[in-house]
Amino acid sequence: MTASPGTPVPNDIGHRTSDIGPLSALATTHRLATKSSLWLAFAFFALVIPLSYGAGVIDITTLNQFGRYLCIALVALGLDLIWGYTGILSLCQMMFFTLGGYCMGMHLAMKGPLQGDGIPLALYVVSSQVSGMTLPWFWMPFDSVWLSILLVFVVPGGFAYLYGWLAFRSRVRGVYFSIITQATTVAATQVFRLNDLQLCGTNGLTNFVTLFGFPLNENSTKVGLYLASVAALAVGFLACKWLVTSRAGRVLIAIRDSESRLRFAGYQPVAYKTFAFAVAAVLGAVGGMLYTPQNGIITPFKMNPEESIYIVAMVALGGRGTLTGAILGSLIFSFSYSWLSTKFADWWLIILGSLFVFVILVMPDGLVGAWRRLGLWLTARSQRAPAEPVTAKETSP
Amino acid sequence: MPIRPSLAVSFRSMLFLALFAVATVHAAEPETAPPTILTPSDAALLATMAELTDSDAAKRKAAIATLGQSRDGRLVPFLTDFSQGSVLKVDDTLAVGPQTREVGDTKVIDLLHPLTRDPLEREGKPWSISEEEAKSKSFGAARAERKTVADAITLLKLFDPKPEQRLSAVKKAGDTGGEINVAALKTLQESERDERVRRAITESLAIINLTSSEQEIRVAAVKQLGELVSIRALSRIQDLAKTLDGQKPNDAAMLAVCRESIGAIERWQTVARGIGHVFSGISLGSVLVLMALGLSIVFGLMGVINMAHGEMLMIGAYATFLTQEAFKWAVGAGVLPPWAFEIYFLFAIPMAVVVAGGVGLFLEWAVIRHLYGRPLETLLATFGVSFILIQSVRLIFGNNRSVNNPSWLQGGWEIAPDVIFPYNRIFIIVFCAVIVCAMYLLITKTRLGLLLRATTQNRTMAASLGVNTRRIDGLTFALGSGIAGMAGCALTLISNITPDMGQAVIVDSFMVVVAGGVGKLAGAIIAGIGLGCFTKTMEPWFGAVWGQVLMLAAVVIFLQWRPSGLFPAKGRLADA
Repeated sequence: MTASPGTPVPNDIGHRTSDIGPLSALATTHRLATKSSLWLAFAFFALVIPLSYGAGVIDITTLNQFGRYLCIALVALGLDLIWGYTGILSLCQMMFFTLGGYCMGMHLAMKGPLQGDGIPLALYVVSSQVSGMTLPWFWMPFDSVWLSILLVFVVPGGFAYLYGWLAFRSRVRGVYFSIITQATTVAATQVFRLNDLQLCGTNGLTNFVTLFGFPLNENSTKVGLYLASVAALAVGFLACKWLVTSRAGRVLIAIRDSESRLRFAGYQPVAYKTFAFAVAAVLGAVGGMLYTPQNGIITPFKMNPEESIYIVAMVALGGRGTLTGAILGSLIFSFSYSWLSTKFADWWLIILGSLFVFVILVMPDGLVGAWRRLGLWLTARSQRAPAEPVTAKETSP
Repeated sequence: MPIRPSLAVSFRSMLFLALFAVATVHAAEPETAPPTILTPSDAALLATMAELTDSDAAKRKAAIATLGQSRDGRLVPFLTDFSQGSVLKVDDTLAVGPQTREVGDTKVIDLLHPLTRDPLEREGKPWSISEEEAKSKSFGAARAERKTVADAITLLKLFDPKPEQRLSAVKKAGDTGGEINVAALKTLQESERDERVRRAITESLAIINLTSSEQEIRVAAVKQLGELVSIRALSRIQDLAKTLDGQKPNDAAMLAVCRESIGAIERWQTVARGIGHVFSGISLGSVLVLMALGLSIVFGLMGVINMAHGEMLMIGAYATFLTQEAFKWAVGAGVLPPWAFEIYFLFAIPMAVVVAGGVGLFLEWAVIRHLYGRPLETLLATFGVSFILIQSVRLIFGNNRSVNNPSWLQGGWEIAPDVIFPYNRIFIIVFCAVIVCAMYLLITKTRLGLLLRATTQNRTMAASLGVNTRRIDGLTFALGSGIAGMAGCALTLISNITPDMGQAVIVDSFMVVVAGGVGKLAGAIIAGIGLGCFTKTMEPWFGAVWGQVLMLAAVVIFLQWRPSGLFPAKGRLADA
């Protein structure tokens, strides 16, 4: 950051009250908006949305949609941690999401309608042997909800830990890692589509009825799940915030900026990278866990490589290396996706592709970066300080 | 311009291929030229054909049999029409009318001569009748006669002048059995010169003998089929063995002979399948090599992973498709002679290179050069480009297209019984080998190659010595895209053309780059062929999906052992 001594720090509010002008007012507003944005956003999702549902302004479908988008935002948060902060572009985050979704989905299917010898309907339908079928052993643990939730953390987290360890240990880096993760999610999709795997094949898991004994088709349960998603995102955000500002977080950023120098300084990047990758995977899996009951179905198609690329688009749009950017980008993306892909079904992919190229070429630090630059520009102009524009390059690689 | 040598090489090879193709087409022509003047024997045939309308069933049957014995291949379509009931008899003249044409509101049928299939004329004008009239005047084989007609058709095909036709007819005759076929096969056996057809005749006769009522004949047939390692007969012998096994008391000697033959055939079947898998693995692998070559040269030079590389392949495939359509149109409009369609593929290759290379050049100019030194961003931007390209092509061309292989690429070379190397796959392998050699020469022997290598090794130093590195980047990117375009052109021979066809290949190509090491020609070749063969040979055992998973696992494990591929860079370049 090329900060000259005269450049004001963005968060010194109320410091220059004497300087009144339209630009300076705008700059103050900008600063206030930046400071309060997180609280406003939290209040919006935790209070405004549920209350407006209670008041009948929005219907349950919209609320449910919001809930699902918040789950996707968790995945984006995870990707931001691994990509924005650690500089490792993973193209398989939706695979972890789907793994988490399957763990929850299997539990929900077990609590749904059963056929024959306690076989969930979804599994029964795609089974080749109808008579004398027994429940596969790996379905057994999912009878218990707490064990299922534990497995949401253990299965994707453990897989990511092992995978990351193998990859980072042999110094698979940069684009190499990206394309290997993409190949992994392609292969995983293919595997989950097999009927022989006894995970319901292409049909996916469905026929969900209850969770913790609450009927899923009731509006109160839906509100509960929505609030759980808000809470999960808030907790995830705070955890990530804490992580990236801790000493370990500094190491992650150092890995992004110059891994070899860090190694020469005596650090062991493999452990940090593996840890960050596992955390990102768990965030994705928790998103999947909450998404599945709200969506009512989970299929292998959520693992398609494009789905993970959408997450990358979200983070790039919002701004890499800023946690708020990841969440903002994912929410904007999700809404425009559902709007554009129905309204301009034919043109949607072209719009998306152009968005990719545009964001990367024109605003590499995303919306949050643009917002920040706007603030710096406003402050600079309102104080008639240095004519040269100040660029905020602090957090982008 | 330094790029010239490579073009010269490929044009020369194309010229050679073109000449080859023209020669093949000309050689094939005299056989198929139909005689338009009716010979006396044709008159006799027509008389026999006219007897098919006779009311006497016995007479009809005799006529069908006579036609079957006539050994005249032109009767095959006629008898097929007869069997389907679409032969016409208008004013005592036999005719066929395969195509309906619309004139205003009514549908009319142009009458064709039943033997020569030339348009019939009446009063100096083409003779056509309305569809309703045709319906009332059509006739065909009675239900009971269809079998006889089918037998006659098989017989006619057995004596077809083309060995390929005879071969399939011989196989069919063996499947159908029956006295007529046995007699015909034996007749053909005496005069047949073609080695493969002779073998097929022996095989078919033995298969028919399997159902013989006499024990010795059956045993001999089983033995003979075992010696012939006839895969075609395998299931029949297995059935025979099963029935024998079920009988009590069973014929132990016969059963032993059966088992021995089954064993021999199955062993051969495994070998034949293995060879087939390896072969199709090599042909798939050679397409992967082309893809990986472009990817890896670009990555080595600019550190850029081009996610839209698969789309360059797709564009090459569509360029091939468009060339084909253009030729189809030109032949249809009479601009080009009909045989020109046979060589459209040779024009499609440069088309694919130019179009895909042009798109690559534009992509480099518009997007990639702005992202120099930011590999992950480039990867994402090219993702976006690939979305745009896929969807644009889908909007323009729709979802699924296919290219007709030129006739000289149809069929295959049967190097051993039941081991067939299809010509199109052989062509792909040769084609890819030629391109790889041209690339090798380009990189090692030309000025462009020298500059390319210099820039890859040390960009700053090369630039300070006066190399225009920006221009090298652009040219290399276009070159890589052009190679991918050629890969797409080759791929049209073995698969359909879809907007997302690049996506199916790209992941495997990346694996090739990863396993082969970046910027290494030899690594790309070995890894490409290796991965192609690995996938294809694993497929039958584990299924396509687990094959892919195994491949991925193999690559990840391989990287544990050799982190920078088969041929890692050494010395100062190693940690670049």
